[in-house]
Amino acid sequence: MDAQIESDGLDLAQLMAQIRKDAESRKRSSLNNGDPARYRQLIIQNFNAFLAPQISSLPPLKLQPELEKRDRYHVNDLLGFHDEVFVRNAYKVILKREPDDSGMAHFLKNLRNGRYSKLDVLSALRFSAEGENVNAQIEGLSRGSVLRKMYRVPVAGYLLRLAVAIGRLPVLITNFRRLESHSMGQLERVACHINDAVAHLSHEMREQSKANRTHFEALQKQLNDLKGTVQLQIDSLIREHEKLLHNQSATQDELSLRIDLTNHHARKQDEQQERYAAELQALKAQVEKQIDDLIERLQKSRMDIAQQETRLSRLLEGTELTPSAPVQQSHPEQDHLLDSLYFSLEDALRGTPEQIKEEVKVYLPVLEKAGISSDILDVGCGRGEWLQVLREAGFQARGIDTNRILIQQCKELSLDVEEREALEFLGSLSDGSLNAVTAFHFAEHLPLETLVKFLDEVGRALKPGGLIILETPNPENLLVGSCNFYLDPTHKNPIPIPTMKLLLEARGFRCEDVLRLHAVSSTKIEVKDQLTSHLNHFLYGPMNYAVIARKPDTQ
Amino acid sequence: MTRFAILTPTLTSADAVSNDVLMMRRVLSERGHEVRIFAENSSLAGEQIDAPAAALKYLRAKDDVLIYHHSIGCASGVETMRAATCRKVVKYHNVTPPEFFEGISEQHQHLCETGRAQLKDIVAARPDLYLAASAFNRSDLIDAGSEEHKTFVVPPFNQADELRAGEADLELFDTYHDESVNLLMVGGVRPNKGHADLIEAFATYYYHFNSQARLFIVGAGNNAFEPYAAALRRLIDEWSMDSRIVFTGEVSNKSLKSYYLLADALLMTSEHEGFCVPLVEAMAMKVPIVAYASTAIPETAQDAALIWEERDPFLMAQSIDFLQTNEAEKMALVYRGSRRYEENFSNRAIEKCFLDAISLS
Repeated sequence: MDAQIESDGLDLAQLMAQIRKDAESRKRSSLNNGDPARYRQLIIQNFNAFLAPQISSLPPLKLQPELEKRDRYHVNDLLGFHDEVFVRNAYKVILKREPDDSGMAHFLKNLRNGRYSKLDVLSALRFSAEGENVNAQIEGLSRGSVLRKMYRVPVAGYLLRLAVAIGRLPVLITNFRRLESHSMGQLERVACHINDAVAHLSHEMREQSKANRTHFEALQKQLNDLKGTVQLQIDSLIREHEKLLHNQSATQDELSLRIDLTNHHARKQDEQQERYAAELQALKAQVEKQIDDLIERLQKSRMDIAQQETRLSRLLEGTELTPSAPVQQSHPEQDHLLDSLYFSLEDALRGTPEQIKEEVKVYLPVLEKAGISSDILDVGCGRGEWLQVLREAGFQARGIDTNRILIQQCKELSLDVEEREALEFLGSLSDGSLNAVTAFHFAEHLPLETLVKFLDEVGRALKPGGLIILETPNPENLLVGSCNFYLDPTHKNPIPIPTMKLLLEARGFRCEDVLRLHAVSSTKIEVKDQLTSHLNHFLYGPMNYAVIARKPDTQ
Repeated sequence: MTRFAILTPTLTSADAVSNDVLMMRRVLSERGHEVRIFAENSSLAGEQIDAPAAALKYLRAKDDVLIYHHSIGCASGVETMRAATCRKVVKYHNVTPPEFFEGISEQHQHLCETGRAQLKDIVAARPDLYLAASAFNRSDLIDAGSEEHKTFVVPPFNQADELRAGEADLELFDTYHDESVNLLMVGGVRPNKGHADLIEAFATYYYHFNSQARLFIVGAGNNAFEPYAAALRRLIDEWSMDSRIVFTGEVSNKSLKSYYLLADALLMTSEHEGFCVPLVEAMAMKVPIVAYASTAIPETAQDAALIWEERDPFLMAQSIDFLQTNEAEKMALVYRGSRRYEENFSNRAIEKCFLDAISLS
């Protein structure tokens, strides 16, 4: 058993206990008030009643005894029967057969009208041809037929019968008395039988009506029980229903209360969430600002260190330049051998002055946004397109370049320019004297060491918060990186955007923005898929870029 | 090769004892033995069956075997057992107590009285081996004086294998395959089968649980039991259930399979069973069993059925309802039955049991 429980998880004993419990409760709620014994009894009683044998009835009344079967008979055995039974028994005893219809009719008729006596019938049968043939032994039956035949002679026969009758009168009287008492006896038996039958029937009827009454009472009681049970059940159902209704309304109230509560909670939660979000936003802004401040300070420290380094190295070289005593150095003549060459290159490679002027206008909003309108230095000012744009926009700016031809051209345009070398010029400026330094297509002409020095000098000469804008060819465009950059033989190396940003940040600047400029728009490949899109980017993407960086503010 | 005579009072279709006799012959013949069946009456067509008197002439050698199936009063059977000089085996199927037939059939009452009294005569004929269809029957034999070490339990061969493998009557199946819960009782309409309890249990289920229910009473009637059948009809009429209870009479194996396929449960309310083959058929056909504990019924079904000690119709009805509403438990019960059938009551298992037993004689 235990093994079974383990193998199929069925606990038969527990399961049957459950069924028994359920059956009991079902029984209790059943219409016969859970009385299985009575319920069962009713059925079994009925069943047994069906099986019981039927009520005994009275035996049928027989006024004449059965004929006993014997080998030999005496006449008196037969004379005790009467009428039809007598004739039938006479046939059976004498002829050993049932009477035929005509024989029976004949003898009955003659017996009933008195023409034949019983002895006449017996003799007639016994001494007929058939009777002789069968030859049944009947004691006390003599032929005596001569006398009986003489009776049938008219008149004499009658007188003979009269004489014999008178002679036998005492015997006849005895016979008559016997017959009378026999008849009376039979009548008495009939009366008794009728009385018995009546008594039996009335007894049966009484029993039956008693049984019917019991049955009726049982039914009545059952009906009443049923009525009671049904009434009880209806009452209980109604109560149940009322309870349910009550429960339902209570539940509904509770439900709506809960809904309200939930809504309230939800609203409160929303508000709280909003508050948290705002707080979070504020916190975030605060943290961001703190990070920003930290970076600002870091960059300031870097710039300070860079400048200390520069000073230190100059000190070591014994060539300290003091801002108060700028060196007025003229450039040796051989440095200008390439001026005219570069002038023609500038024309050929950079584009027309009008074109350039249009292009550099992109930087005006940058200056405006930073609130800068004066103390702007353009390093490598070239043909002075930017200085012109600045002047036209009302900005106060000056420019330097080492190309005499270009300087000459700028001066012809009445621009504030000087023929000066950048590092040397910057070194002549006092700390924090400039609002902005711009250098377009300048950095790529410098060796790395010089570029770093240049950045350090710009950092020193700018006011805190001052801007530096450096524009240079963009090697992200493959054509620029591989070819166009080298069209200008004075270029040193292309500077990728990350390198430029790194250099600026390393020397203490904060990079504000990178502008990718001058994409080739006319010769683009028609974009069909990712490949063509990539090709467009690499071949026809922006040819130049500008990094806009700021000197950190002093705290 | 041994010569076997199998002797039984009556050979007829759809009868547990006859099936046991026929299968026994098959099993022995398959092993190369010579087997003949002797019976007082046979209603099987195409079977060569001899009168019991011929058995003694057939059994000539000392190691021939007479197997007598005792299930009812049978003078010729007892006489043959007494007279035979060969090895003697009695297979005891139990005899219905005569009280069941009181007021219904004097003839059966008499036959059963004789049958029970003859058990002592059979023991007196000193059989070499006693085979009892169940432990319940075995204890009867031992009470009558059989030696314990010669008395073994061998379940009767049956038709459950054929039921499992055979075809069903699909037309019949379709006729009754509907929304109704179909309940089944298999067994002849005889006064020992507890039909009144069955009808009462069904009525309780019908009136208290589910009026979409139907009861099939599958089994042959007998004119001798007409008063019993009439009483059942009146009982059904009293319950107003004549449209829900179907007396099928004797059915073919094909139809029997359909009834088992239709059945949601087998109800067994019989008051006297020496083994109860329908339980085995139900287990083989994966039909759950709900029964009253009586005679050999608990032993045959064991823990693969819901068996109640008290004859309480509410327990029966609640059990049916439980099976209808608890699929998992029902399946577990049914699989227990199926396992029990395969391990103990498949003809292969019985064959082994039978051959083991007769090899001891």
